[in-house]
Amino acid sequence: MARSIMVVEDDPAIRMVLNAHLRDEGHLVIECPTAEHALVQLVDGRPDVILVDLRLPGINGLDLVRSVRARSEVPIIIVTAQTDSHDVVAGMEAGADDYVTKPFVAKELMARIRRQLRRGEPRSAAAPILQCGPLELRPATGQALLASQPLTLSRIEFDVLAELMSAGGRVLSRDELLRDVWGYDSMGDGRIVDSLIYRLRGKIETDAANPQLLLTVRGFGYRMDARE
Amino acid sequence: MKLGLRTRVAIALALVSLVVAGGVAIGTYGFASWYLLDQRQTSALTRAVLDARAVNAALDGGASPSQTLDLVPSVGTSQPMIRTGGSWYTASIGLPPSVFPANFLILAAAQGAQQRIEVGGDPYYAVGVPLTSGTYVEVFPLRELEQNLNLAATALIMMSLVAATLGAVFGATTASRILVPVRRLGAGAQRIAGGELGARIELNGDADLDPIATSFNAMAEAVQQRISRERRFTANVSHELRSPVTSIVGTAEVLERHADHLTAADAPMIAVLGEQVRKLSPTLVDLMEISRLDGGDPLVMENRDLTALCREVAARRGVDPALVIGEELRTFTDGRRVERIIGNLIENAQRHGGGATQISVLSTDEHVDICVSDAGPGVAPAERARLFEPFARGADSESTSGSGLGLAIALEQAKALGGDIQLDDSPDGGARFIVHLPLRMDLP
Repeated sequence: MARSIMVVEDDPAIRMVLNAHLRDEGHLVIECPTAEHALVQLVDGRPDVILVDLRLPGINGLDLVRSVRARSEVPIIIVTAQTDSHDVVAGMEAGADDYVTKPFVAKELMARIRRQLRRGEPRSAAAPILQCGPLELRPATGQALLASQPLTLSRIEFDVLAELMSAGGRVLSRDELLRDVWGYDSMGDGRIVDSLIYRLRGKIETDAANPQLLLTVRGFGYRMDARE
Repeated sequence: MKLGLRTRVAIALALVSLVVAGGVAIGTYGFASWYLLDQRQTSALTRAVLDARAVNAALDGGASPSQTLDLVPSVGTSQPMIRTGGSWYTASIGLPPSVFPANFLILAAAQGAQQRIEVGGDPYYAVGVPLTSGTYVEVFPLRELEQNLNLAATALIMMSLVAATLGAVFGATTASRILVPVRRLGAGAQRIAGGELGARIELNGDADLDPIATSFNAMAEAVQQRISRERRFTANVSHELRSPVTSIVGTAEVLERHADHLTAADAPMIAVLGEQVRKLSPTLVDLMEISRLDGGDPLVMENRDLTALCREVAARRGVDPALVIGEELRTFTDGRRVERIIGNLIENAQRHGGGATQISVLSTDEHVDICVSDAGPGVAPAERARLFEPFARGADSESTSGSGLGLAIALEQAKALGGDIQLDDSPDGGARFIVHLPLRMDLP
């Protein structure tokens, strides 16, 4: 089944290249030169993945990410020339799922897109329900409940939580999470994990500054507190 | 080498103290000994003359010399002697008359005489006075006085030495107090020279030293600005190149994939284009990285097993993880940076050293040494420092692969982690890069 990928990029040359690669992969491409275009296109189109350049004329990439995330759980990958990782961290905190820096290797970018697309696929119905305190994840249906109330999680947020909850209270290092959730095979930037944890705490903790469920083990990683 | 300023000041002050204190001591001793001896001699002379008068009167009165000697009041330890009628009479068993020089006795008999004599190493003062018939001689021991003077001399020598020592100590402390700001100046200069470009020398209101410190700070400031301008320039250039390189690389890749639609003449050209342009990407990434290394990203410290990390890094670069030797070694460090360091060293070995032959992870008390050895010909000592400079090529190497920044980045990253990289020869003849990293058991 053809998937549609939205490319928000002001540089026509890069748009063209991305377009060619994505078509070679068999995807449909929605090209948007600006964030404004993207917002208009999002009214009708339902892309499966959005690629966003952070530096855009008009509305910037960061605001676009925030605005998309407010209404949809579609995977967002930041494609940026910015390597200053505070920009990347800001993008992740705004709601992006992954990032790729220019100059990117097309093969790697395509692998990242595939990884995000797979996230949206239905899981095995046999996957057990995960529980930790007031939090309940049903991987089979992709449902999340917090104190029996439905909880909206993006796919990567769901996966990070599921990974931590299946670990049964064991500490997972940033590396392990990057490898198992993001699919990195070389060492990635641990701070994209940190910013995702920050996002998750905003959703599942009563007081995000004083977490009770998703705990930091300083210098080692993160773990879920499995106690009741 | 010339002696240090501090030592020179100390020696000078010690010499001055010694000369002054020694001079005073010699003067004091000379005056004291002259005065005391003079006093003693004058009083001895007076005593002897008075005693002689009494003896003369007694002898004239018909008393025997032996009886007469009893008249002499025995004051102190002086020894009276009478020579009359060719024989000597002496009150106690003391010095024999033979100790007196002949001319002393002649002079004493004629007009009276005084002389210092030495008997068995002891000094005496002999006073001879002529009698009506004969000579009266009284001998006063000077031994006690000499002893006292010797004691005084010893005390004075000791005091001079103490003064010299105090002078040296005072000189050394004063000099080091004076030198404190100079040393601070030196320490600041050393920090700046050592690459800590943000270091500045503190001004402390010293009219002589502040101008030096000020010009030094200005120089450091200029160097720092120059370097950061260059880095910004590099960062901007590589940033500007990113988008075009991305689209060129991407276009080449698309064309390569569609090679079967190209003519037989075009396909190899496209292959060359792709191959060449792909080399640009890592160079750009490395350029960006090295231009942002200082003041760049914060460290992400995590507890890691460096040996396991090295095995992963080796495996990712096609090196047999069994070549990594070492036991589990956990420390808090930034794994991504360690991966950059070790990865770059492995790639360097692959490009220029015939591949890595061994990677060993060893810990000392406070450090970890990760040694990456290769199978190459090694690097001449004179070439070693230069190899870590950006775009340095080994003397023998015609290879143009790689960005030329790998070792420079590795060194900068090691420094960012509080470590360093050294290069020497491995026991098997190849080059050996030694990465020193601090061993941190706690999070900073």
